[in-house]
Amino acid sequence: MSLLRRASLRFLSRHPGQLALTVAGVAMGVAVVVAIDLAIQSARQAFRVSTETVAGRATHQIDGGPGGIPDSVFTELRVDLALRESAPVVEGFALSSELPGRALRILGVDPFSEAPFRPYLAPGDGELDIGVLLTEPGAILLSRETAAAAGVVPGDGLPMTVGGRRVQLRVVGVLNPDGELGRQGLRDLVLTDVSTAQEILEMPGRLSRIDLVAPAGEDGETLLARVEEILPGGALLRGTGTRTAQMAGMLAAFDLNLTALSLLALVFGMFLIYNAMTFSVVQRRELLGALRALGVTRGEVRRMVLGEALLTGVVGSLLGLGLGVLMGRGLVRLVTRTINDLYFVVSVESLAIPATVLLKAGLMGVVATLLAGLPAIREAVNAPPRATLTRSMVEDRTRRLVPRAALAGLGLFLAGGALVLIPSRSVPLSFGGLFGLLLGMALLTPLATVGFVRLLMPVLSRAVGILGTLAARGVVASLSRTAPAVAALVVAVSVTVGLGIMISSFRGTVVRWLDHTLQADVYLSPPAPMASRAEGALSDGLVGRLRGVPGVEGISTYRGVTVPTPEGDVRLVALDLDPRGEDAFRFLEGDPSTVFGRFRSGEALLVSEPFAYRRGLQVGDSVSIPGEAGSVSLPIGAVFSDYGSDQGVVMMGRTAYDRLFADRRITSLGFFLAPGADSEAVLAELRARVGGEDAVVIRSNRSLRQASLEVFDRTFAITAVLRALAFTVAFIGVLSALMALQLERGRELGVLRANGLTPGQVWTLVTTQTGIMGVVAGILAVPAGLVLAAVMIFVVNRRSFGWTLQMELGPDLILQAVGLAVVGALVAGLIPAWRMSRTSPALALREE
Amino acid sequence: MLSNPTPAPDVVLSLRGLRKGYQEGGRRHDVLLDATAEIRRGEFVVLLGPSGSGKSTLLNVVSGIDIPDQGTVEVAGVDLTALSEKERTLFRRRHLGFVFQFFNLLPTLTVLENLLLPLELKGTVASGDAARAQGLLERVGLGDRGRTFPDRLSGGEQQRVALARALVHEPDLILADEPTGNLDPDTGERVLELLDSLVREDGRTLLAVTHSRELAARADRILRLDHGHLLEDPRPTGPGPTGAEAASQEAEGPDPAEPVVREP
Repeated sequence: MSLLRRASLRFLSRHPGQLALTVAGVAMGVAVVVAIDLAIQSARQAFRVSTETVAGRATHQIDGGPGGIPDSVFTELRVDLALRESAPVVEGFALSSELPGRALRILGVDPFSEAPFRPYLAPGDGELDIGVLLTEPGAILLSRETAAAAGVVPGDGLPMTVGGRRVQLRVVGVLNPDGELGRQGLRDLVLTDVSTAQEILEMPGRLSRIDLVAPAGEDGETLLARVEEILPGGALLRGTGTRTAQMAGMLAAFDLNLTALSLLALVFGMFLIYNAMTFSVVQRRELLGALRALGVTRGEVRRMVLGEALLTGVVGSLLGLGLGVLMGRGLVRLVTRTINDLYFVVSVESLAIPATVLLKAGLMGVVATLLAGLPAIREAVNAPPRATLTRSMVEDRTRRLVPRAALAGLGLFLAGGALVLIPSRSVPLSFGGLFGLLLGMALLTPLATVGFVRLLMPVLSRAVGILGTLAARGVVASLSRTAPAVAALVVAVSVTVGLGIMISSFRGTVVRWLDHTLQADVYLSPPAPMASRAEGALSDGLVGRLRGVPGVEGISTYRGVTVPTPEGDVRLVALDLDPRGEDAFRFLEGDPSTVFGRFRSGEALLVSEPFAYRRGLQVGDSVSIPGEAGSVSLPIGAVFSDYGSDQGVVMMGRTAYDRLFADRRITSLGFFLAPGADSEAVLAELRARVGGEDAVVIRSNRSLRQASLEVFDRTFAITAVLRALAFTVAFIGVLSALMALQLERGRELGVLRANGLTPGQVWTLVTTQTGIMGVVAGILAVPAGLVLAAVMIFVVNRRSFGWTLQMELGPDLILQAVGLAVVGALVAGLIPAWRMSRTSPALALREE
Repeated sequence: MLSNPTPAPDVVLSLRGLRKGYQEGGRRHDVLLDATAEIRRGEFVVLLGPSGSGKSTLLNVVSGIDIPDQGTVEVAGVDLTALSEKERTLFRRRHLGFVFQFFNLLPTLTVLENLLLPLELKGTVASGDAARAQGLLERVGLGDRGRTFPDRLSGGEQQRVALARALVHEPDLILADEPTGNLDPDTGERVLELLDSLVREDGRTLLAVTHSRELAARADRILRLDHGHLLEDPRPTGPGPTGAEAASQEAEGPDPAEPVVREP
């Protein structure tokens, strides 16, 4: 190793605190990025693997509409088209008290048709014969892991609720999947035969879908064309990958929002690196000058500092990867829960750790370190030989940079603003604009700091005396160090406050929406695997029993189904709307006085705002719904506010639905009580009528509202965690900046101590200075936070999820921003203040 | 004033018609005006001049850290003004040795490693180098401190290490900037003695910028910067009372503010 390299390594090892901060900056940034990426990838992979496992080797599938496909279609395929490679599937979700919190996927198959599709199920293969499914009613197979989790062995019964009904099934065997992927794929899968599935899912004579293997090339195309011809109405033939891709695509905006937040943590980490590295170079300016005089070239200096950056970058990134995997294990639960609440059912067995994610994040960490280290490297390379240049020269240069930085900041801010205001739907574009706005505001900070300190100076000198003036001048005099710290504090606080405003505005909007939407007094629905939508169907008998309860004046019925269309699945709700429920809709477009009549008679649809936004539709445009009785195209009568699904919902009058589909089932009910009716008595009566056979959830308006808000808060848990993480990284950055500042001023403080300043006065001086920085940052963070919140509320949310939120500003905003900044700066200033007040003046003076 | 159109073969440093000025607050301030001088191999030369006379500027120009606005600087027959910044840096590491006022040892290298650094930079690390470095350390009386880090040494000891560092790679010219400026008189005197003997024993060439009369007293020749010109002080060769008197006139008064060296 060359002596230069050795000297540089020893420098790092002699300043372990600084090194630790830099490494921590890289590590934290990388860890957050890795953790989020791993969590998202794991959820996606779990979804893909389980979908692929269930699809097996099928190349195509025929999906039925809400009512499924008649059995006879399968017979036709087999007999008329002689399509041997086809398999019927009946699919649905169930819950079991033995496996709390896990949605079980019921897969009903025909063992004799399975061989070409799901080899792990083929009869006669291995020790397990799935033929047993045929001989016993209610027989099911579980994977070993799922059986163990439920605590059952072959021969045991397993109670489940399907839709709203209780069923008793019996485990007749366990599947032993090979390897991790197999285990993930069969997790929470309940395998049974077609007829059992039809029975428990109440789909007599119907199939959910038919899997096909079509040969590639012309033969396959001919075959598929013939299949198309015999398809019944509402059924859709599509490649197996298509639907999976469409479903995975639903996550795009969700992923992007989380990723953008995680990148923010990396950006804060970069600030930390910038600060620590610049400090380490500034400390060595004299030495670097001497080296240059001795004949060390700029190139060699560059390589030396670059080497240090690279080393910290690599070590920090490696640590970050490890930390990220650990954090990922925690975050994957939050991410999966949110996906389950909002998008689709997925169950993650373990954190997937793809090498590409680690590689990408590791590279990002190293590149971020090098980028953040560039100013330090430039500073080092430009260290003049045998420098007699001192800090004041650097500060002169910094002050000259202030107007330039402000100009660049203004440019970036305007460019970011323009990007945000471009009438586009691109989410990446809006995040690009958001980052531009943030960076622009950060670059404007130095100028604003100088201005504010000038304003504060007279106040301070009156309040704290000469120490106040000293403290204020110190902020301006060491601008190269104070301005980045204030900027980081501004960005951290504005992001925290901005996200806070966004979340509380969102919550406020949802609360008002729920108050509006939940018009019925009592709701009844089956327990659902997904929190945000009611799945399954109530049994016919139950619905009949629930009519005519004393005290109930009206009932709205609700049937939620997924309709496969060539453009992707459409969430369709068939609504038999009681007139009292009309107030539940808040229309953004359309005429409330006429639309309900047309809606009930089946002449118009109601669509949610996200649905209209995603497809670029408005009132008067038509939406085509493929039904069993043929496709219908209906005009949109109104667009309503909805925050339940970012994919959007189409509402159709029940009569129109019944014309299109053979399905007569109901998913949930809303009861309107007569004025003065005793709601407790009605609830009790309803519970009595439900009896023990059905497992439905009966909730009062208030408790449903409460439950909905709980789901809302749950889906924002991940955002809150990221917000806290980003703030933590930024806070460490501010801490390091303030420590560097005070360490650099050691001599100055030493002189003051020598002249009679008491340790307490040093404490006052340092604390006043950090306090000033906190106040300035807090004041600047208020407008910055407002801008951020507005962009996130009106642009990012709209473009990501298609809904409009109302911005809510509490009077506590300013207090919160200033308080957070001041407390942050003061806390970060505690350690340096303590250190400096304890340093003996002699030592500080000698250290020069 | 020295003026020699064709430098003799044993001339190590030749300065001709140097002119150097700075912009200061919108007006030009000339530090060097037609400075011309020659130094021969083996000469011990001291440069005197009041504060602000341009001594540091001249040292920067001689070492190739800065370049003159006009004129040429030849060190060992190479015209530094014709070289790029990088070439000058590489030239410096091969042909020049430095002794600084503030020692400027690398705190993260041991004493011995500090000595090996110029050799490594020169690219001639050989098996005998460590022995050579050790030998020099013994000559400066620190033979047993090779593994020590500089911060464990006193100021005088640090400057002795710096002397050894300036000599270890056998440079053509050694430049010293106030080598005793940061030492107490007794220690300074011992360091000067050492510098004198080392330079003379090895037949090295030295140009020292100083206010110290003790240092000037040891010089073969004394140059003085006066209003941008280099003047030769008449004096007998070798240390003696006359030289010391001449030097003492220059060494009066403190030196609160050397002109700031700027980035070339």
